[in-house]
Amino acid sequence: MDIKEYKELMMDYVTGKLNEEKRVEFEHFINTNPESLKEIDHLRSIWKTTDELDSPEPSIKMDEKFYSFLDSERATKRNPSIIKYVKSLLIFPDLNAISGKLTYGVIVLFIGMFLGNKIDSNIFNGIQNSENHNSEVEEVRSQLVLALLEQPSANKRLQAVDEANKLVEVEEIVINALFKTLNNDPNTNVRLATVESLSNYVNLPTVREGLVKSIIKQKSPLVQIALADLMVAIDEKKSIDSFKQLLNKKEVNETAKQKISQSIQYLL
Amino acid sequence: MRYSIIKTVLVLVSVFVIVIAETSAQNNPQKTIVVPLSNPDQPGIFSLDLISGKIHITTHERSNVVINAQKRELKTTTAFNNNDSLEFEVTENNNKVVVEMNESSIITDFEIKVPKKCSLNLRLLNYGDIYVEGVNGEFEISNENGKISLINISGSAIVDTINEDITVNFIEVANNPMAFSSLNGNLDITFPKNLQANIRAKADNGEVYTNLKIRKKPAISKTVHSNTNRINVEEWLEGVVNGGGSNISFKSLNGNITINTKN
Amino acid sequence: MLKVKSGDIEKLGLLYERYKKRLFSFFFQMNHNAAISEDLVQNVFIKILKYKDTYTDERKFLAWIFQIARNLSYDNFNKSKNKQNNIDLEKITYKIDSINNFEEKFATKEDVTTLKIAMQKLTFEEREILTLSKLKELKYSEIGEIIGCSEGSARIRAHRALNKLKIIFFKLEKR
Repeated sequence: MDIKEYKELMMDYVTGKLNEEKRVEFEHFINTNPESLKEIDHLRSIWKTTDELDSPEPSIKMDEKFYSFLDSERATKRNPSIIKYVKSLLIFPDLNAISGKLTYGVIVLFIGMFLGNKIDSNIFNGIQNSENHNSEVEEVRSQLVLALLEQPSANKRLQAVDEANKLVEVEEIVINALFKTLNNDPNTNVRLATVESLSNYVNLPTVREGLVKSIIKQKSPLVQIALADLMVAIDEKKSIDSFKQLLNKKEVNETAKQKISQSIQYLL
Repeated sequence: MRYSIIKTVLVLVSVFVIVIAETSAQNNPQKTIVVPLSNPDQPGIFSLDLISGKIHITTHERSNVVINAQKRELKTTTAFNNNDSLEFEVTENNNKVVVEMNESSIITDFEIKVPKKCSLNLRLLNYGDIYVEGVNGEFEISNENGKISLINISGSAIVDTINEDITVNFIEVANNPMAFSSLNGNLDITFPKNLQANIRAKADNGEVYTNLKIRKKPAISKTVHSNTNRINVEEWLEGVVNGGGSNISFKSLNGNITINTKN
Repeated sequence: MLKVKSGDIEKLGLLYERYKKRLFSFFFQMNHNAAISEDLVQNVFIKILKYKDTYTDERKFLAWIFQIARNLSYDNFNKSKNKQNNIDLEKITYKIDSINNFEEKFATKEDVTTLKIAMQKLTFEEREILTLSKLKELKYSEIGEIIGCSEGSARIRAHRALNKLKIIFFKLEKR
């Protein structure tokens, strides 16, 4: 390495952009040239200090804004590619067995329903979700749910529950966070929304168990009733004892008690 | 360690604290205090958690919060110790004004003036209504035994009552999720015509009245068992308003739900 | 990125997660305003969708995204220049300290404060090239592309900027 190449590469060296081979070569050069070594040392020390010029973390607002932008973009993209979604729906193995004619018929039917605006937008969301099911996106959304659930504003926590409802597959850590919210959140509406969100996962034994355990912890009659309705819907007989305990509590609201006794009758 | 102490001291200095203790022998003592905001150009947050009393909030053009508290005169003194003094603590930290009641069994009526842009976090248990007028912000409001009325507000609201009605009238809405629920009360919520939202409503033993196009969700029942007497928990009315937006849910067990949009 | 190009919008979320911190920190170093920096990060992704057709995989994505970011940062600077937006250095120091671990940062706090003042005394272009040099993955040929000059010229500008920063820093320290 000569002085010309040294001059050329010194910023690359100081800012850590040299590859291993060049770096060794460069260090060899400066170690044999005391003048250069001094120059490099000066630059390096000031460069090191600039590492301390740190930035704060971007706020959660930035994430929210981005994801609502993404949602709106997705919504506008939805219409032109309806055929793609319908097709992707038909790629499922069991549907592949259906004869070509029938498949064609189903596509026409779907498009007809779409054009006639008879299809419910929620069904659409379903199609959308299954097509875009992507573990990395799920991971990102899960992180967003966890972060939003910790926010002091009920608004954000409600949004967290909405986001959780968009997850196709839910991780245990998200379920646990939802239970923490169900059992401890100070806002009644947030807890109510959480009961509904968790009702999506009643096929998991741990979720059923958690819901049963939560009954006795609820103070709001609205949440007690929502849980009673849910337990009847999923026919969870293990909840009967918890409900009986609630009936014995003096402070439980009378309307709630009536509703709970009714639910116990259904479950028995 | 030394630095964390310095930090604590700094935090304390920046907080505005007033303890109000009215010990006069007057029958219904009252107290008014003015709380300046540390960033007058920024929206404020006001928070009050009250056991007994009423909360009445309106706006003014200034950038401070004026709190007037009055001890309610009682005809009978059996349930309450009328000798308790009017006492509460107000703190202001970075535009958040928090009123904390000391443990006292008296009924306190609050008349509060806030800047136009101010979020509210209010909770009340007994003996009064919550009334808010003309404020723009995020509202988290809960009243167990009284009404909640939010008149000509802007922003978004999360509201619940147990026994009484919720009346809300929005001039403008922010695109935030909202929820309104009551056990026995009616919900009467009015939005501006340009509302964009996904709406869900459920009145178990009442009716839903609305000028919006919302309808019963396709019956995707979660119940797979074919036993008799099954209650369907999925009887939500749902609708997408003006292309959709944030979720807004309405729920009442024994009351009616009225959702309207107006110009 | 090619997936975003082919219309897979979900992938934009991944790009966002991958680059949001680096972009935010780039903008923040340039303008010291967190709110504006957050908006600019958002704008980068709006632009990515808009101009996705101009991206070819021959170019490194990081260089492409920072070219978008740099243009936004430059426009923002020109806009705010007229307003004579003098930044309150004390405020910045306070903001950053309240976020980071107070004790750990205390040792170098004076140096860092001095360095911050020194940075503010550099021109926009000098600050920009140093901030871009911070990104180890970016070669000087790519930094040249981003700011619109040759590879050699990018090196020289970076060298000059760092030298100037050093001189200002030592001058301030002696005071």
